[in-house]
Amino acid sequence: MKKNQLNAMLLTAALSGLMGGTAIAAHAATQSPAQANTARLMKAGFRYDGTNAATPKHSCKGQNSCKGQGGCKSSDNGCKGKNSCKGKGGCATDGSKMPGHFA
Amino acid sequence: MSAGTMSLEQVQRAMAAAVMQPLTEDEQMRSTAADGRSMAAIAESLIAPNSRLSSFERLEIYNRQYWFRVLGALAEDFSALRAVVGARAFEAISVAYLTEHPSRSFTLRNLGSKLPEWLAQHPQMAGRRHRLAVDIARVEWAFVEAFDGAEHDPLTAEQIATLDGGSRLALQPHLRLLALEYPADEVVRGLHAGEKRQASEAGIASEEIEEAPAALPGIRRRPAWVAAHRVEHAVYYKRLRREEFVTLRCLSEGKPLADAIAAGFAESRLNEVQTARCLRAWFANWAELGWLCAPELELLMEGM
Repeated sequence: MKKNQLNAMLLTAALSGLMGGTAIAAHAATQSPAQANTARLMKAGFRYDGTNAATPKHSCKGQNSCKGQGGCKSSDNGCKGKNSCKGKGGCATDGSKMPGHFA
Repeated sequence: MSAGTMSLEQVQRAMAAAVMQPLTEDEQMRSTAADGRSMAAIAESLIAPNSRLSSFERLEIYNRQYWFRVLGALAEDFSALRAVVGARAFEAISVAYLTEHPSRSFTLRNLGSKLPEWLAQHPQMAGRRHRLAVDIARVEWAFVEAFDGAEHDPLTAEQIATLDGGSRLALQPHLRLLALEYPADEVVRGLHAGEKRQASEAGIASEEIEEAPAALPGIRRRPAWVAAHRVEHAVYYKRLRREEFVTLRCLSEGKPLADAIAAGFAESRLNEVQTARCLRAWFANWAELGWLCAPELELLMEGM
């Protein structure tokens, strides 16, 4: 097969696949969300199953737009045992000190 | 110079420099700044003492909280990397990386954006598992990007009908392509699943459990091509053939469709029939997953 013919055949294969896949996606959109998702997810690969999936902070995993604002990370993480002002009503305002902490 | 004689910008810059300065080994504020000045003097120029805390102690609270927060955030996004190199090495990596690349964004989501590249340039930080560690960092960062990357409308049947070999396509912004030296996606999946089990069994994850590098029996260097992408608000990763990966990468670089296909199969051992079969299946799969879309320039033109 000549190179031009081969290239044309491969391009045709790609475009027919593209059209077929688009038609399947369009058809799936007309079905129930559960049916449509099942078919699509079978081809999606492995689902990323992070450590945080079972905890509320999973909702922030990866996007982290709330990190640093106190809403995303659970209190047992990051500052655990290290909060010099913990329980003193907010270190940012009154500078309170744990008794003997800085002795 | 005291805060009273500084401009607001000068105060902010001085405060940021002090807060972002690495802590001592026992997690206290250092006594001297990087330029040799006394931190006590710097603190006095920025913060007044009160009846319970000196200026140094008040500034130290911010210094410590900055580091606890950014170290915790990085460990959360790179938990598999932490497991592979061990907690001690990971902390050293984090401090060195964050000293060079401190938080510059309003969101800590971007904190680890340069970590894979940085780690690749600092092989001494990860020891004998350096290449594997770099691949794992790339996989974990790809998941962050896939999670919240933009999603454009996929190609429509009408758009596809106009395509030819010279057409240029774009990939969904949330689709990240990775060429790995190790099967790091499998390693990450295994480690995350293990951590999840552990957290579930214990009720709460303990920071002290996994201090030593994780045992990784049977891990061998062999190339892997992976796509991290998002479907229905969840991140997936999908193994690709090398030809598939190269074709997609060429499309993402803006190469015309025919050139991308030619480049994808340039070193392939597949025969003509196998190649055509693969192309049909792959393009159908990509279309179903909505991976292909019009280039941004075209999208902009449509919006005008």
